[in-house]
Amino acid sequence: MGEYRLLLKHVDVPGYDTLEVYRQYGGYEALEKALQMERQAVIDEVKKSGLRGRGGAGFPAWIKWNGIPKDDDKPHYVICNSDEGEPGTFKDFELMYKAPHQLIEGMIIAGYAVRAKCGYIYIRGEYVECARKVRRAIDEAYKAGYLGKNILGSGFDYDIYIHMGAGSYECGEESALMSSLMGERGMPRLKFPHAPLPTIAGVWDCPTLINNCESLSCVPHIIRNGGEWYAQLGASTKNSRGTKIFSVSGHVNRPGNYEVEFGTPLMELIEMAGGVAGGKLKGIIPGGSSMPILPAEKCENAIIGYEELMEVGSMVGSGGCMVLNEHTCIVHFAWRTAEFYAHESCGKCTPCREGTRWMVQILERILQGKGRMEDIDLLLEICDQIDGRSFCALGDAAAWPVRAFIKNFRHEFEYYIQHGRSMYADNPESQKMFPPKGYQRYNPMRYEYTFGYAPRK
Amino acid sequence: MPRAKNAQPKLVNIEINGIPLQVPEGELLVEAAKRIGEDIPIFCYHKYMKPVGMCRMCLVEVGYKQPDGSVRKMPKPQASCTLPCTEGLVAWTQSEQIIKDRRAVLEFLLINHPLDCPICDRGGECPLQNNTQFYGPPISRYIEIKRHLPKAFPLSKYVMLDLERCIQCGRCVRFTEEISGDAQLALLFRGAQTQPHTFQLTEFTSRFSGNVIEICPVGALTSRTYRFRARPWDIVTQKSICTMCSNGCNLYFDSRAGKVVRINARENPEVNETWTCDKGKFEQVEFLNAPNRLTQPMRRNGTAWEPISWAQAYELMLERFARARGAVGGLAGTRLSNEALYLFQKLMRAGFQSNHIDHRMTRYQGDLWAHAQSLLNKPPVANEYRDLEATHLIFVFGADLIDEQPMVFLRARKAWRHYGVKVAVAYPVANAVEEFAETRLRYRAGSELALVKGLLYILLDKLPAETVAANLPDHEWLRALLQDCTPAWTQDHTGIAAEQLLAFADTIASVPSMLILTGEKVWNHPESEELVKHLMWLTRLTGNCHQESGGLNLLPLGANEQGASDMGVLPNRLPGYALVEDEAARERFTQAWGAPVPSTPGLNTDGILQACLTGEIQALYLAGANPVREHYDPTLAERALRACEFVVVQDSHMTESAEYADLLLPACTVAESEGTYTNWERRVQRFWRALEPPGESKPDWLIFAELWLRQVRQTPPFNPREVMCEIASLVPQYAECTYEALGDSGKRWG
Ligand SMILES: Cc1cc2nc3c(=O)[nH]c(=O)nc-3n(C[C@H](O)[C@H](O)[C@H](O)COP(=O)(O)O)c2cc1C
Ligand code: SF4
Ligand code: SF4
Ligand code: FES
Repeated sequence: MGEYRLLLKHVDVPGYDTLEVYRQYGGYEALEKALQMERQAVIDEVKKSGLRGRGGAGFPAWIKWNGIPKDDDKPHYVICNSDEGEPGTFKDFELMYKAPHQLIEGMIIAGYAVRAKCGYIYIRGEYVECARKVRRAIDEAYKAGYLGKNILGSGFDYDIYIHMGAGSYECGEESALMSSLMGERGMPRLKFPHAPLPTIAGVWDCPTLINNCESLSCVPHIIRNGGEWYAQLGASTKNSRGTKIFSVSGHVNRPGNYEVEFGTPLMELIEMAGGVAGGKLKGIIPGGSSMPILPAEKCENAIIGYEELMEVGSMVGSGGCMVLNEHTCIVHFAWRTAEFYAHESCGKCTPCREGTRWMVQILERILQGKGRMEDIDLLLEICDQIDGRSFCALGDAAAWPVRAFIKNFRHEFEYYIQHGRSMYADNPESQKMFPPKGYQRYNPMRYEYTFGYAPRK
Repeated sequence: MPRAKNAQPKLVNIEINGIPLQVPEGELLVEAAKRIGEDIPIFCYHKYMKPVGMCRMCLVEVGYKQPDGSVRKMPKPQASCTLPCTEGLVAWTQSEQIIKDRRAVLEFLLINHPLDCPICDRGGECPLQNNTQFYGPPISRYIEIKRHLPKAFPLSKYVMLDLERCIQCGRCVRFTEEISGDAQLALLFRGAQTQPHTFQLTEFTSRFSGNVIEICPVGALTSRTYRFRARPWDIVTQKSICTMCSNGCNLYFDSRAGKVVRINARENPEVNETWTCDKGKFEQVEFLNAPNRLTQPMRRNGTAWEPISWAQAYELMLERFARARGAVGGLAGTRLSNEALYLFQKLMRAGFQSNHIDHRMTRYQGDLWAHAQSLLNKPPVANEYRDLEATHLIFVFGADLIDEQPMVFLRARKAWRHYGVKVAVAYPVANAVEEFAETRLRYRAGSELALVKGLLYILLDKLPAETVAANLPDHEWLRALLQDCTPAWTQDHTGIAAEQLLAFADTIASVPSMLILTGEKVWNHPESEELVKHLMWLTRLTGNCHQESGGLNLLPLGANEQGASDMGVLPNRLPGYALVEDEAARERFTQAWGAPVPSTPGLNTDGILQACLTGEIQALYLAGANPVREHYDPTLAERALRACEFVVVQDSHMTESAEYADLLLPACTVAESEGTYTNWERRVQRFWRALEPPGESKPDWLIFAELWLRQVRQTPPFNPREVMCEIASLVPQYAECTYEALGDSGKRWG
């Protein structure tokens, strides 16, 4: 229980991003081991480890791995989802920046297990530095014979390519990512049962394995130490195994990435990060801005684990743990969150496209002091109308936080509407949390024309 | 995989709203629901496009039957437009939750949609309006400021875009990507700013742009020619057929106050599915409403036109024709209906005792039927639309398909896109088929014959000897004929690299069936007779004359050109392709018509025009034909008309040829008469009368019938239906083509 540095164990060793140092700490041993194993044995090892996706949904990794057809003649692909768009999450950044070889090793093992032809690392557009590091690491791996033709004499050929995103949160959603990778508009595609699973028809209609950067970085450790060993970690939880990196941010004294074993109490994580800064705790969003907020009372008993956090009303998500202290104005926070989702909605489906914009407009009106009491219920109803009705989970992700804010802090909204100003308007501690003067808000009325609508004859 | 033509789908058991039913596996739930009369509201779904599930209007609750008999319900409602039916699917389309969800989606759509239906061009026929009436919330809770965007932005000559009304269903964008393939529209920006537009706001120049107007479920895309001219409730809609080419698209003519104001597609899955091209949709309206309509019979009086009555006109015409004593000729236009064409040739043959009739304006004026029958044992057009999807290789030869046969183009594209059919195109200049064709042969203009010869030469060697022997038992003479046409010779003559030709021959040799589509370049080739024969040998050699889904298609160009041949508007063939020399056939027609039929074959178009110059023909009847514009040699046509003593022009509009007429007979357009057309695939399709004839103009068939009455003094037919009965009784191919049997969607003969 408590902090357990597995993926992040050596990241602070100088030069760990180079092949030489990585190998000093046992790098690529797992790959060598894996290449000796049967492909199915590798998948079984992942199955034994109980690894679940770290990208947000927590889907058992081995099911995806096992779902890739074993005897077809189409090319297979592995995609590493490093788009990391979730506000509050920055774990993949550190993994790629400081331990790129760990990711690459994981991807090669995954590629070997599913007979892939090549792998793509889809990196968030802003992570230019990460992409450079990964690029260098890939080059080193090619030189050392870990990539390319006939890897380590095993007869397995594999290449890895980097693809940079262009600044869309939605492109982290797996099917939108695949569209984007293929050069299409970053919009999600039909999912099972409306269309075949990506493991059958993913990019270019070929079997595709898509996993989060952290999930893939776990793989070398699983192979090196065995699935059973990995499954011991977090054994106290219902169904979460191993370690999870949380990006702790907000009102804590030492924000940063902390890797903990599943089963650790949530408050212990906050303590690791130096405890709540600037006052008492108000609430924690444990899994990135898409997840519902946990008010302070619930945080006390919260245990980190997929099912455990769900029981108290939130989710592990991507591990973007945001801590709010008592001086935070929830109405502002809700508005800022809603603004993000309205800005990132891809526009494909009606509930998300129209609903997110409407929510921002209502919240903005409340902020301007022109709110009406019925707006609170209206917001809740809009959340209901989006949640579960949208095409992809971004709609749900837009609805959950707002709903949780209102459910847990309704009095703040009521106060704001009654008085036309925030409860914290006079609180000197809160001042720096309000948006600075002149902040350019997401303006749903503004159209970003790059070219004018000149009248035509 | 090409689509098997008559495949039987597997059936699965599903249940909708408690009603068990069997549907083909994979059928989408929205479609399956229609089988029990359940109309699920939709916006983005379109029957002929890939479903995307964008609008979320069609949500239903879904569950799956478990082995133990219980039903496991999915936690979230599912879009029925994207859900394929599988065994054990259970759906509820009317539950309380679904009613709420529909209301929610409509509320969302309406928050940014202007609520001013009374001034919207779509008002009255708008899916958004209808769905809101049925399923929507009575009032909106939205009090924020609506999205404001440019209104009335002209996308092209025909299409206007009102972005404020757009509900981002993506149909228009998907149409240009999936169906027309020009990918001119795209969704720009994201989230609430998403808007369909051309990439750089450039002009929307698709040949099929009109379709996006029809499929737009709101008033965002409207027709610039129809916008605000009429309201859905004050137009009269009539079923019709397009006259702009031989594709035979099924249409609706919408008319108001005696004018056709709009043309929309009429669904016919066998023909145009639900599309039209811009020629049929916009240019046809312009044509129908052109100001130069003829409304009064007129005779030439020096340089002026003198209006006369119909009785005077008939009298004048019959007198002059009688004076010409059999030295009369007639050219029919391809916009005439089958009934009119039949009566025309009957009048010319039995009435005026002349076989000098024709309808062809291209260089090829040979006996196509005879060649096709003797070489291929098939009609000159072997296939139908569906075959394009079932064949393995479509070879477009000498045709600018998108221009000449727009619907065939769309089908060929669909076949390539959905069923992986290979496409090859040979055309002298760039053309739209090249975009998806695997083989592109840009030969030197005029070298069509050399190209086919070169192909034949290679194929004779490439195909297995037994195949050649089986398909062309007497191939030795062909070998001898083509002995010089080596790939190098062909390269010299056509400019196509020998390797490319060899590779293409490989493709031909490797596919089980090939469907050849030819076009104007073949008809107008200087040696068109030879070229046509070589194409037939090619078809024979490759065995495609026996293939159900392959074969040669010498596509006709005019709307009813196929019908004109069928109806015997040919110098040597009676209706149904019986030869005029054939005693028995002549006897049959003489019996039926009550007047003898001349037994010597007449002159073809070129012959008639030449005969006008030499004076062998003294009276010429142009029924809907306009040789000065349509004939491949306009100078010849002009000289002939000038030389001819008496020219009667019967047309709906003032044409170039009418300038040379001595007598003008005002006829009706397709909108003002009734009848049938036969499209390229030999599908006989009915059209209905949408308008009253303007002025004193009369339908073509009626003019011929009245002339028949005056000339032969027999009871004429009283309506087109009766004419079709007569045709059905005399022409074996049309035996089953009575109006009752044709119905709305027509019938293919042969
Ligand atoms: C709107 C949206 C954004 C997402 N963004 C990311 C992301 O940035 N990174 C990521 O790894 N997964 C993201 N996901 C989750 C992916 O869809 C997918 O579940 C994940 O890549 C699967 O990998 P895993 O099984 O390893 O978790 C996102 C999902 C949604 C709905
Ligand atoms: S919920 Fe709909 S609009 Fe939102 S991102 Fe997903 S598909 Fe796009
Ligand atoms: S313009 Fe019409 S068809 Fe195109 S996206 Fe908008 S509503 Fe749909
Ligand atoms: S019709 Fe099904 S989602 Fe639009």
